[in-house]
This record gives sequence, C-alpha cells and structure tokens, in this order.
Amino acid sequence: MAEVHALAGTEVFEGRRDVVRSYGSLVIGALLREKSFRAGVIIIAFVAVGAMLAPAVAWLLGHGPTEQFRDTALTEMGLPTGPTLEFPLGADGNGRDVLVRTLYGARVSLAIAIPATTLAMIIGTAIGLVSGFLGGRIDRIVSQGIDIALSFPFIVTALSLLTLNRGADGKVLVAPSLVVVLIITLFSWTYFARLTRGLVLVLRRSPLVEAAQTIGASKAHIILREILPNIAPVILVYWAVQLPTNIVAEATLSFLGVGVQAPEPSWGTMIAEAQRSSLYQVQPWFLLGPGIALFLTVAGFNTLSAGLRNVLDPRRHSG
Amino acid sequence: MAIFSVAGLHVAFGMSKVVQGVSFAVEPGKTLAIVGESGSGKSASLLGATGLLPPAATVSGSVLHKGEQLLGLPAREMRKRRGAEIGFIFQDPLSNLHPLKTIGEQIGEAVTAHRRVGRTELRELVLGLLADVGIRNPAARINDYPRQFSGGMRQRVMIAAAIALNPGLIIADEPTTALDVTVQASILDLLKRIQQDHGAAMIFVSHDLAVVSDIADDVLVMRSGQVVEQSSARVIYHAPRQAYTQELLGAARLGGLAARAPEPLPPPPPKPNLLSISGVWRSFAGRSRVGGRLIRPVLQDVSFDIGENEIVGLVGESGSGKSTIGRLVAGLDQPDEGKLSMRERVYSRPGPGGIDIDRQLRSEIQVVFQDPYASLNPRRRVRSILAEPFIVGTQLDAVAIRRRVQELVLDVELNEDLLDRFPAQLSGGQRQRVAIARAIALEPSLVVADEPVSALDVTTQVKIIRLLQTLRERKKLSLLFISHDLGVVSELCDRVIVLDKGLAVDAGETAKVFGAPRHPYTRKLIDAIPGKSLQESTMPQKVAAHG
Amino acid sequence: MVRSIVGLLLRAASTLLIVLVIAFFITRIAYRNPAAMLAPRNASQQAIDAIAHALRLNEPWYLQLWYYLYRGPDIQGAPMGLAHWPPGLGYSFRKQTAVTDLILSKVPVTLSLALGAVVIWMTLSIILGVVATRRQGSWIDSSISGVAYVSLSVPTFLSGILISYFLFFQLSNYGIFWFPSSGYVPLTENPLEWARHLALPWLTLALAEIGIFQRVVRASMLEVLGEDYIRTARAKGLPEWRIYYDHALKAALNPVITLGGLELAVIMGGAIVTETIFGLDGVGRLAINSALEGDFPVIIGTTIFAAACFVLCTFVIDIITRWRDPSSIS
Repeated sequence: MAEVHALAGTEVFEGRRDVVRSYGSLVIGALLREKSFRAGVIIIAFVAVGAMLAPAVAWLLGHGPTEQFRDTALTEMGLPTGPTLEFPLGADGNGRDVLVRTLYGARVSLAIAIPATTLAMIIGTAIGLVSGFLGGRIDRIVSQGIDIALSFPFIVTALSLLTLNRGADGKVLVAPSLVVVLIITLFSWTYFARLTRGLVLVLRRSPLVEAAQTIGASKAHIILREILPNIAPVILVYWAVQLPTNIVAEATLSFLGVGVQAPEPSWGTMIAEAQRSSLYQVQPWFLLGPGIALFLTVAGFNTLSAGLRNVLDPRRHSG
Repeated sequence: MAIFSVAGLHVAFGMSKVVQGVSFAVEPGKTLAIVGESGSGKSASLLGATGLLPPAATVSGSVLHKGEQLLGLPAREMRKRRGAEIGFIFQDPLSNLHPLKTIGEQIGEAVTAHRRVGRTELRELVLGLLADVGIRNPAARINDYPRQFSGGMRQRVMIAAAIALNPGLIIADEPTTALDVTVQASILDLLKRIQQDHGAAMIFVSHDLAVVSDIADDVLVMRSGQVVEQSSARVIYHAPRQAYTQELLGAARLGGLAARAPEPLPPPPPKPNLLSISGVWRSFAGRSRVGGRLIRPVLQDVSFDIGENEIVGLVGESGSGKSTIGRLVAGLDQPDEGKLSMRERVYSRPGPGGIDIDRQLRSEIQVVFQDPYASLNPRRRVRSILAEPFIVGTQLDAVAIRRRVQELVLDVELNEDLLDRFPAQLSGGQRQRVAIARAIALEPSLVVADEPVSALDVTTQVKIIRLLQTLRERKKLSLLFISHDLGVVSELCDRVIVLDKGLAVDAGETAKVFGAPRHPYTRKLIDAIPGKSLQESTMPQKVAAHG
Repeated sequence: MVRSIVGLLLRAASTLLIVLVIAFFITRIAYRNPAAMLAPRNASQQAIDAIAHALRLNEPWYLQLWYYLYRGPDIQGAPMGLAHWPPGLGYSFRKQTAVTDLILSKVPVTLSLALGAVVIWMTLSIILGVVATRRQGSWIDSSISGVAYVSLSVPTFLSGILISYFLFFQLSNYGIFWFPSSGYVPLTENPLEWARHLALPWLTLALAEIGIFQRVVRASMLEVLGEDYIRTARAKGLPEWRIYYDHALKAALNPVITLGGLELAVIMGGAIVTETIFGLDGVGRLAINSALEGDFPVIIGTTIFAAACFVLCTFVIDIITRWRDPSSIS
C-alpha cells in the first residue's frame, strides 16, 4: 500500500463503496467501536469530572484544599485519622482533607500536562514540517538542535530553570506552574519534531507531493494541505502517548520538591509528604489517595492512546 | 499419476470467500499454469493448500500430495513436506529473503531443516546449488547479503533454496513479475531447465498469459475465486471457449508487437516541435567529475524531440534512466548538463535557479504517475482533487470550477457519482482515470505518463490505453509515454526511443524500430518478450499486416 | 562505513560542546550570587570574596567560558578545563572536592544500578514479549499485557515506595531481611551484599521499563512475523521455534536496541528518583542535592556527565544499528 495511504489511516475506508459523510465521521465511528478507546475515555471522564467537582466537594465537606484541621483530623499524638464520614479519605500529616486535596491535585496535573503537551505538539510539528520539507542546511541544524535538547537531563535542568525564576530578592517572577508548563514543553517538543520530520521526509518524495508541484502549488500549500492532513492522525496519536508521560513528569518534579510547591496540592507533593513522614504506614490513604488517582489517570490515557493507535496508526509509525 | 491434486478447495478469511470450489491436478514433469488477475484467488489457493496462510484463514476441501491428504495434517507433518517435497518460489525476491542473513545461510537452512549435514558438506552443497542456478563465482558470493545482489540474482538464490532437496513439486508464485523483461526471460529459461533436470512437477502462477505460454502444459484460468476455464495450453491459447479467457488472451499481446496499419498515404509532414531535449546529462552521485565527465551518470547526452499531437514512447528496463527523463521534462528535476525547451523557450538547465517555469508553462506540461494510489491525496474527495488544478492554476470562480470538474469526469469516462468518493473507495482503474483527469484539467499540450498502466490488471490496462488514444484525438495533446512494456508502447506510440543505461540507443517510428530493430539492445528487448512460441504459429498473419 | 562513523563522531562532539556552553550559561544566570551560596553559612564577606576570586567569578564571562572549555588556572589544586584527562569540571566548595573526582566516585553506584537493571529488564522483556507473541490472543498474552500496562502506568517514585514498603517493611515485620531498603556495598567487596542491596532498586527500575519494552518487543515481533521472508522460512519447512528466535527476533531487535540505549543513557545520567528513595549515593542523588543547594559547579558537572552519557549511548547505538544492517542508513 502506498506510503501516504499507510500514514493517513485509510483503513477506516475499508470496504465502503458508498458516499461517506466525512473522513472525520468514519474515524469517530471506528474509535467508538474500539474497546481500548472506550475504556480509556471512561476512565479519563471519571478523572475529569472529579477534577471539575473539586470545589463542590470542598464546599460540601467544608474543607478547603489547604486548610488544616488539626483538632478534628489529628489524634492526640498528632497522627492523622483514617477514613471517616467527615474525612472520606482521611487526613494527612497536617490535618488536611486527603479527598479534597486529591481532587484538586487532578486539576493541577491536567492543567499543567495538557497545555504543555499541546504546546509541544504545535511547536514540534511546525519545526519538524519545515525542517523535513526544506531539507539541506536547515534540516541539519534542526536535527542537531534536537540532539542537543535531548541530551539535557530533565530534572536537574528543570531545577536550574526554576531557579532562574527567582528575582534578586528571592521572590518568584512568574507563577511556578507556568514555568513547569514551559519546562515540560521544552522537554517534549523534540519528540514531536523528530516524529514529524521523519514522516515528512517519507512524504516529500511521494508522487502526492510531486503531483501537487506539477500543478504549480506553492510550498506552503503543499505543506499545509497535502502533507499535514495526512500526518495529522499519527501526530495526534503521539499526543495521546506523550500526555501520560508528561503527567508523570510533573508529578516527579513535585515529588522531588522541584515543581509545584507546598501547600498547593499536587499528587507528587502529597506522595512525597506521605513517604517522608512514613505516616502512610498508619494512614494508608494518605499515600493511596493521590497514588491511585495518579495511576488511574496515567493508565486511562495509556489505554486511550492504545485505542487511538489501533484506529489511526495501526502500522505504529508513532513508535 | 498426479503428484498433487486439489479438489473442491475453499479458502475464506472470516466472511470473505477468497477461493470457491477450485479443483486441479499436476503430474510429474509437467507444468500447470494458474492465471488470473488480482483478487482471482490464484495465490491464495496454493498457499492455502500447503498451509502457508495465516491462522485466520479457513481452508476446506481435498488436497492430495502423493496420494496423502494434506488438509488436516498436524503441523509437524506439513512442515516435513514443505521444502523437502514441495519447493516454493515467491514473487518479490527482495522482501522474500531475510535481510540480515547471508545467502549461504538461507540456502543452507533449506537443507538443514530436513537433513543432518556436516559443515563442509553443506558448504559444498550450497556452492553446487549456486552454480546450478547460474550465479557466477559462488565461492566469493556465498557470504554476501541479499541487498548486495540484483533482482535477477536474488531470484536465482530463491530458486536455489527451493530446489535444494530436489522436491517433486515446485510452486512458483509470480516469480518473474517483479523483474525486468530481459531478466525475466533468463529466469524462465532457468526454471524450464531445472524442471527438466529434476523431472519435477511445476505449478506456475501468473497474471500474464504471455509469460506462461512458453512453459505451460496445462492452463487454469481463475476469476474471483472460481475456475473460469481449464484445459491444455494448446486449447487455451488457440481455441479458448470462455469470453473472459478470450479477453485475457487479447490483452496479453502474445509474442509479437502490435501490428500497426501501414500508412496508406505518403507520410505526413513532420509535426512542429513542441518539446526539445538536447544533450542532457544527469548524475545523482554529485557534481564531481572525472576526466571532465560526470561520475555514474544516469543519463548520458540524451537528445530527442516531441512534436505536437504526437505520442512518443520511452522504453527501457530499470536503471535505464527513463523515469529521470520524465521528471526532467515535467520540471521536477534539472539536468547537470544540457537543456530542455518548450516551443523554443528554454525552461530547464543546470545551475541554481535553473528550473524556470512560469504559470503558463506549468499548465502546458502535466504528469500522470505510475501508482495512482500514491498520487491522490487520501484525505480528499475526488471532486476536491480535480478542483485543485483550477484553484491553483486559474482564476475561475467556484461555479465555473464545478462545471469544469464535471466535464473532466465525463472526459475520462467516469460516472459523476464517483466525485464524492475518497480514493480509497475506488478501484485501480478508476483511480488512474482520476489521475489522468487531473493531468488534463489545465488543458496541457504535453502529458508525461510514467508507467501509467504498469500497476493495473491486464484487462484494465487495455481500457486505459484506449482512453489515452481517445484523449489524444479529442484534446490534441502530445504524450510522453514511459514504459518497460514494449507491447503497450507498440500499440500506442507513434515514435519510440529506446534507452539503455542512460544512453538513447535507438529512435524512430515505432513500426520501423520494432519491426526492423537496428541496435542489438532493441533486438534483445524484443527477443525477451514472452510468448514467442505462439508468435511463430501466427507469424504469417503478422507478416501480412506489416506489408 | 568509516566515513559515516567519523561523521557521527563529529556530530556527537559538537552536540556535547554546545550542551556544555548552554549549561554554563543557564547555571551562571540562574544562580545569582554563587559565591555566597557556596560558602559555608555565616561566612564572612572576606571568605565569600576569596571564594569568588578562586572561582574566577569576577572575570568576564567569555574568559570564564574559556577556562571551562579549554584550560583554566587550577582551583585549590584541582585542574580546570576540558583539555585535561579526565576533564576538569570545576571545584565544589561545599564539598571541598574537585567536581570530576566527586562524580567519578559516584559512578560505580549508578553504573551498577543501570547495568543491572538493563540486563534484568531486557532479558525479561524479550522473553515475555516472544512468549506473548507466540500465544497471541490467548489469556497468557492478555495477562502479560495487563501486567505490563499496570507497571508502566505507575511512576517510578510511587512503585519505589510501594516496593520498599512491601518487600522491606512488611517482610521485616516478619523478621525477613532479604532486601535492605537502602545503602550500597561495592561489588568488589562482597558480590552477594552488592546484589542484595541493589535488588529493590533494580526491581523498581525494571518494572517500569518491562512495561514499555515487553510491548515494543511484541509489536516489533508481530510486525516482522507478517513479513514475506518469514513465509519463505515456513515454506522451507523450518520449525516454529527457529522461525521465532532465529529469523523473527533477529529482525525485530532494532527498535528494542535503539530504545534500550536511550533508556540506559537516561538512567546513567541519574536515576534520581530511585537513588533518592533507596538511599543510593549515586550521580543522580548528587545532582539533585547540588541543584537544591545551588552548588553550581557540581550542577554543571552532572549535567555535562548526563549529556555525555546520552551522546555516547546514542553514538554506540547508531554504530550497532548500522553494523547490523548497512542499508538502514537514513
């Protein structure tokens, strides 16, 4: 099968000789029939709803995400209580409501990872398109740039960049969450660029592009209307593949104390607190609340991406 | 006594029935040819009968090998027969040989799969086989990898592995389809000799009746999973009963080249020049030169002209440079030396900025590519694909474009309701018609067609050729027809140019060049056309036609 | 072939050089008053100035860069600049040691962690991947896939905590002390202790990677098994096991090797999380602690070390891939 058709996910057309409403409708239909996709969507919906309802739950329980309730939540010895009616998932070492903090943590994770991955996709794809299509010196420079960006170790460089964020007086210049988004974008765009470049290199030599050239189409026209629509499915699959990785990246940064700072609830900081104080041995939900939430979110997106891949990229061009 | 017989064979993949009730048999020393177009089930029937289809396939019926029922045999028993009793040769030797193993290993394991053989003895055996299939200097090449061989040589390696244990039955699935015509001829000779030497039975699968005409004793014609006709070769080739067989026969262009009616009047004055290629050199090994000449040139000092309303054929085998010329003419590439001009205006020459084609000129030269699937954007409907040339190349408004697109579709004899389909929903022939429609949209003076029918079924090829002839008449356009298939070229082209490794070795009116070839390479090409034996029997008619 | 190796080498070297320069600038800008940060607490202004002088912090940036890249005056007896062997990466006042020595002293730990984990996860992934392929669609395949899914969905820091809890803490409640939860014993001292102390960290790293690699092996095997040359092998009558291990696996290993090299490089640069949780004194731990403290010579040093590992690993992977199949040069 011609390379361009293999890329564009034309399996959805299999056997349909009638007039189809649109390519998009075929794809959505195929996705809804795909088991992994359905399962992934359900899990993600669950997490998203939880994130959205966080303020409502906080209001219902009367516990804010950063409020401490030392008298009601901690025992005389200072140990947090387990799950009760008042604290459905128990409390943490400072007397804060674990359930409320977990739900707010979902907001943090999604609000950082989704924009970062999307931004990385846009930047990386644009660079990959230009680099792959124009070739020559520009391509060589961009490839080397990608190599350089990939060589930097993630956490240490992230910390250095976050330290850059402090003004002369020690106060932060820009909201740390924004800097974390930028850092994650900085470390993800390279994967999109490499992927796109590879795809464009294949398509550049195809009769599809040459036919457009003989009609007299401009370079911009060819890139945007002939090449991009045909590589979009693979790139979208990769977005879904990279997203859970970025969620974990953000959680790891906050676990090490490098990202979102306490007392802001992030799953990473909650898990770090639980481990540092070893209080999870007494109140397991201190650890399990954010732990299970993190696991569900990552697993959900992994399942979703597997489903997307089965429909849009069965030949695994996205690696 | 048949060594291999199949009765009532059914092969299905889930709901899709690929082979429906096929029966045939082959005797030792004889060759059975199974002929059909794509989707006929010819390969599936053999692969299914020998257990080489993926587990998703269901196979039923009766398959007898040396009297023993194969279907239902445990896998271990089947494995014992494959390789030792039944040898296989597949179509594409590049994808059918393991890229990371030497040819010595690959032939050797065909032996060690069934026999215990010592290292030195195995090496002797493999060297002997390599010599047997005509590979020169086997000792030097035994440790080479498949990528270091040419297509013909790789196929010889496959054949060596297939006959390693002297099987009683050889199954060859389109063994020459992926090869150049001259290489094809030598491989066919090799297969014939091997069969005679070993006294084996052979089943030869092909889509081309001409290819099997020299070696087949019996022929089985298949279509859509069923048997259309089955007879001895003599009957099939001289007195076919079924209409489909006759259609296939007609499309096969057996042995000879199309006889073109001699010009009844004195030759018309030469047509005015449209396109001129002069002194063109092209090399992909960089601009470096040795002794003033380019290194490894793909094209060497090629010159020819194309007149108005003329169909010029460009023939050659792979590596001849014919596709490169096509791309140079289309303005997709520029020469390293020489120039191309249209109506006396130079539009392509070496150096930066050498391709100088304005909008007007662009619309004069258009291209039809070989693989119709690959040149149509899979995400756009036919309507949008055909509107594209107008959107980019003209100032027409949407209504006018819509009307022109409808006219285009009728020009290429397609139904209007195909306009709203996507390319993946069309057949091969339909896609090529869309590609042709796109090429004539801007009313070009010249269309470069690079192997436009090679990827199509034989019967479809005929129809597309007719379409091109019609279009030439109606639209008064010229055509540069690039092909490796001399039969097609002889039928369609007024003049022909023969390319051999970048050199134009022969040129002139088609009838003259093919009827009385001057250059030895042209002669070699014509001799390699399969179906010669049948050509002889119909010779008197051809002579009369040539006059 | 030789030409391409030289080309790769040049490219690797230039990449490393540019990384060095960028790292230099980031850390110089980020850590604003480095002398103060590096001096012990309550140091006098005099002491801080002395440090600033010793580190040449008051000289123009291009000179500082030159000292760093090529050769600079010794600091406290430690050579400065890449023109030495081993390259002098600076001097840490906090720890009163040359950065290069500091890093090199931590390398054995990280190396043991990395190599051990690689061997474990590669072997298991290949075996599980091939088994899953042979029994494609069966319950074995599904359960292996399920376990792989779970293990790759759990971040390392979480799995590390859980492993430490169940295999150390819980076991120790029953008096079983098979797997210590922290500390390191050099291989040369006592191989058994070395392995025992690294068992849990290896398990943590391997679990996460098996999740990824098992699926890569399986997907690659399935793709290769659909190729024509596998059908040819069957047509020759070769036994199934040979087709899987000799024909298919050989061709399927390319993506596995490439990815394996990348992951190894990342871990060598510092498996920060694993080292932190299990109290391993490796390069990763050094890096994060220095970053939190602001000990910027060490920060630059560990960044360069990580980048060098990455560049080296990708270089080796490129060579191996080309040697296996010269026609795969893109």
